[in-house]
Amino acid sequence: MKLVSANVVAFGKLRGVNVSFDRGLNVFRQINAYGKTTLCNFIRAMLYGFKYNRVGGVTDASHFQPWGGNERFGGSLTVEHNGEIFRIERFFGTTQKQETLRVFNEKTGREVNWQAQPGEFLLGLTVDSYDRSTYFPQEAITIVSNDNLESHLANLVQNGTENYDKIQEKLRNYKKNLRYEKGIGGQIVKLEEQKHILERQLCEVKQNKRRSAEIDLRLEQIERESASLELRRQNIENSASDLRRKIAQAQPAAEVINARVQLAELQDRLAKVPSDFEADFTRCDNLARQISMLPATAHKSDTPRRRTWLYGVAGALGFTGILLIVLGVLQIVSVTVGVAVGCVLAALGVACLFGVGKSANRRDADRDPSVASRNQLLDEYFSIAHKYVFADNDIEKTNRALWEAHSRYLSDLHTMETLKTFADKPQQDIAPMENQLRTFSEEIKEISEKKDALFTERGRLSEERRRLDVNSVEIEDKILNIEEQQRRAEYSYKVADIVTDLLARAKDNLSSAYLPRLCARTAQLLREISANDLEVTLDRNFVIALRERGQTKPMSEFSRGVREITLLCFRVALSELLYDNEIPILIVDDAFVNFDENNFMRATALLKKLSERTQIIYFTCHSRTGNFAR
Amino acid sequence: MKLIHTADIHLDSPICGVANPTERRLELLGALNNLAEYAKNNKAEAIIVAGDLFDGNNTSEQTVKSFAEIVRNSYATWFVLRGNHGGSAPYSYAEKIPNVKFFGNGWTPYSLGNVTVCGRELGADDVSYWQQLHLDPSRYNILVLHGDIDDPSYGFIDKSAIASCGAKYVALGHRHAFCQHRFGKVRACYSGVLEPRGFDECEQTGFVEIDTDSDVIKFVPQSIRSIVTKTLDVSGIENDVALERAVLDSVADVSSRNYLNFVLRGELNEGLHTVLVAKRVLEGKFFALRLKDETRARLDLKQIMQEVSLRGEFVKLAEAIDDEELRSDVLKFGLAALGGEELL
Repeated sequence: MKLVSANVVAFGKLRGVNVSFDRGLNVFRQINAYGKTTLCNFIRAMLYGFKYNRVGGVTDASHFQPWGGNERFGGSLTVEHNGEIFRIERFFGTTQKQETLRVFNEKTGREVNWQAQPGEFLLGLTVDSYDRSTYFPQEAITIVSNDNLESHLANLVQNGTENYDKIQEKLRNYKKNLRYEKGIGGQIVKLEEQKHILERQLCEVKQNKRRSAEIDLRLEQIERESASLELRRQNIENSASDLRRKIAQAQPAAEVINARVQLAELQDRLAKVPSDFEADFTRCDNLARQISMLPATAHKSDTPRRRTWLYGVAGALGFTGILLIVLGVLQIVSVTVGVAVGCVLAALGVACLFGVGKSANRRDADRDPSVASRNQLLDEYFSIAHKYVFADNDIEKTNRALWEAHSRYLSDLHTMETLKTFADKPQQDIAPMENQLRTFSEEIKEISEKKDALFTERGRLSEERRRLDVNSVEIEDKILNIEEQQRRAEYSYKVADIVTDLLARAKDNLSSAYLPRLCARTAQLLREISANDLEVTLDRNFVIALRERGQTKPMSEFSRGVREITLLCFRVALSELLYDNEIPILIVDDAFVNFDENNFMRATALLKKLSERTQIIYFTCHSRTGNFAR
Repeated sequence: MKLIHTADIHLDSPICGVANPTERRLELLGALNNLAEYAKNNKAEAIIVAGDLFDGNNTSEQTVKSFAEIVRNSYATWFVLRGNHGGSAPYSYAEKIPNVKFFGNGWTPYSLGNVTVCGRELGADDVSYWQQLHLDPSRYNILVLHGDIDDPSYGFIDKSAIASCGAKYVALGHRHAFCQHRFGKVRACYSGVLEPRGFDECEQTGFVEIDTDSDVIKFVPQSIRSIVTKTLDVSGIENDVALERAVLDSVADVSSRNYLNFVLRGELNEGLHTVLVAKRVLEGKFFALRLKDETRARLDLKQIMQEVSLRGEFVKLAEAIDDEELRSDVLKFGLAALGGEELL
């Protein structure tokens, strides 16, 4: 492929620029800020377009959007390829959708469809390879010339954005996050640790299950023991209740005590009754019957009248005597006289009364023998009866009273016998029963203590059982989840490991395939453009070393001039390798600006030689032309 | 007479990758209860569990009691084969439940009207047990076995012996997806699981209903939660916002109570964060989520292989990996590393 012409409608600062290219060497000498680099980028954009990914908020395209406008920008590039002339018309916008690409065959005037980027179709290279081989930017040479030569040389055949070491570093870090290469650490190890912890827990839970079974057994035993103790306690309680009832029955009740009191009172009362009361009563009863059978007195009608008179006298005497005593006491009369006379009169009155009675009886007896007998009987009767009752000398009243007394006596005797049968029950000995009751109480207390102990043990075991009651399946869930995470992490590690290995092998392959040729061609180019007979060696990292007089030295030990020209030769050699010795085009954007005169001469000589079969487009702002002018 | 055939319920099994494994375990019990209700409503007289009712010795007492409650309320006779999971602990309790019949290590027949349900536990050494099987051809014979018909690891299931044994139907357990087989004139089914526990189980779950009168055997779908697979082709999606919208659109009809198996396919535009976006949009919205990234980068690998570059060499080497999934992942990861992308 060769460039024929470029028509820039608008691109960066360039507007309406038309440039034609020769097949060989093209030197464009323009002042600074003309837009030489922009023109280089225009050619690149025509061939490969832009990436519209936003990096730092802007896209590649937005760098070349004309100032002060949002209009579409671009132009056309005419190229010659395999004898055909193609015109690539390409305009860009702010997004990929706004970009248009049309390719025309200038000979036929027809639009062609290459199904790929024009650069890929025409050069057979991706944009990354184009950047590494076809385009020689000013900055890269400057940086290479001044800074880390080795890493940037290596970049020539590596990824455009990140070098091999950085990628491997990134992969190492990625793998390290999963599992340390040395030492113990990383996500996989952490997961393994978590899994071990959970497995230990699971093991404990399984052991706990055995303990739980033991506890369950003991709890059942406790239930049985408690039930047995409760039964025993109830039995003892029942026995104690019976015993208490018996003791209560054995102890005298209030009624019994009352009965005893009554009995005692009754016995006291009966003790006062003479022991011959029954005989006396019988005697009195007989006497009363005898008396009732005897006739009453013959002068019974006179006697009461005479007696009444006598009683009147006796009463008057008594009354007068008492009156005198009272008067004496009241000192109305002389005390001595009054009292003395009063006493005498009273005594006379009493004597009259007594005498009346005696004389009357005597007279009755004297008058009738039956009366006498009756009186005797009466005397006897009253002498006996009055031991028990006193009811005047009226035999009927006395007899009635005596009967009542006798009845009362008999009743008392009967009551006493009754009370005796009730109150005089034999007194049981309650002491053994009370001892037994105490034993029962102690046993109940002992049972309660045992029950309390069992209750406490049950509480403790239940709590322990609750603590042990962890569902093992939940732990198994967690283990499964961790195993799943482990599997994923292991797989990621495996993929990263494979990628690490493949990248290393890719680098080896790349190096082993091209290094010898690259070394030989670089050395040949060096010999052609300089008098130095240096051998070039490259390691797999594209670190260049030069062998001079049998001694290999790193580039850093050579002069800047040797370094610069060696790097140029290396790059040309690499491009030749990439294009299989047919470099179609080289665009050099003032890449030799910092070269000294000798190196500039050598570089231009090299490019001039290359221009015999390669289109060289050389942009510069300097007037020196070196070997270009020859 | 109607009978229900189920298997592989795995009560109290560990479950991973779901929002709430405990809830899911309860739902397994719920599914069994639903089956029992179905049996009651449809007057099924027996429920055959062809193995793996419980998952292991860790089955909780509560679960076994719940099973006993389900059995008590079902009024059906349960014929239970232990299978290769479950241990002895849960069954020792279940054996006390009145209307549950267990199969022994030899052929154990049970009669139910004109139906004979005959089963036996299988072991790896069981090979010649078919000679001991004698069925009355005048009865409707149902065999119950737990094992793989193609893999004798859990006992040899002789297909030719089944074909000539005189059974009408073979209730199988062990495979977790419903499938029907025919050995000669004998029909056989793996009932599959009642409920899916993980993404490795089938999307359609349920049980088998056998009507011995009409000789009809049908699969009855049942599920509390389902596994729903959705595939999104990301080809043509240019940015993450559009991808997010597409992901949401594709799962709009999926209930949040289901398991979502989300597969990303197609050619991936450069810079699209497929897994990250899908994860952010979908995570936490379903009972369980599985994301599978089967996208491939929109790259012309053949052209890259022609490049004289690390990338070209890498692609050449990666293309030699046999395992397709691994090759795809290695290429994706390696090209992302070479492209300077963040490694996730």
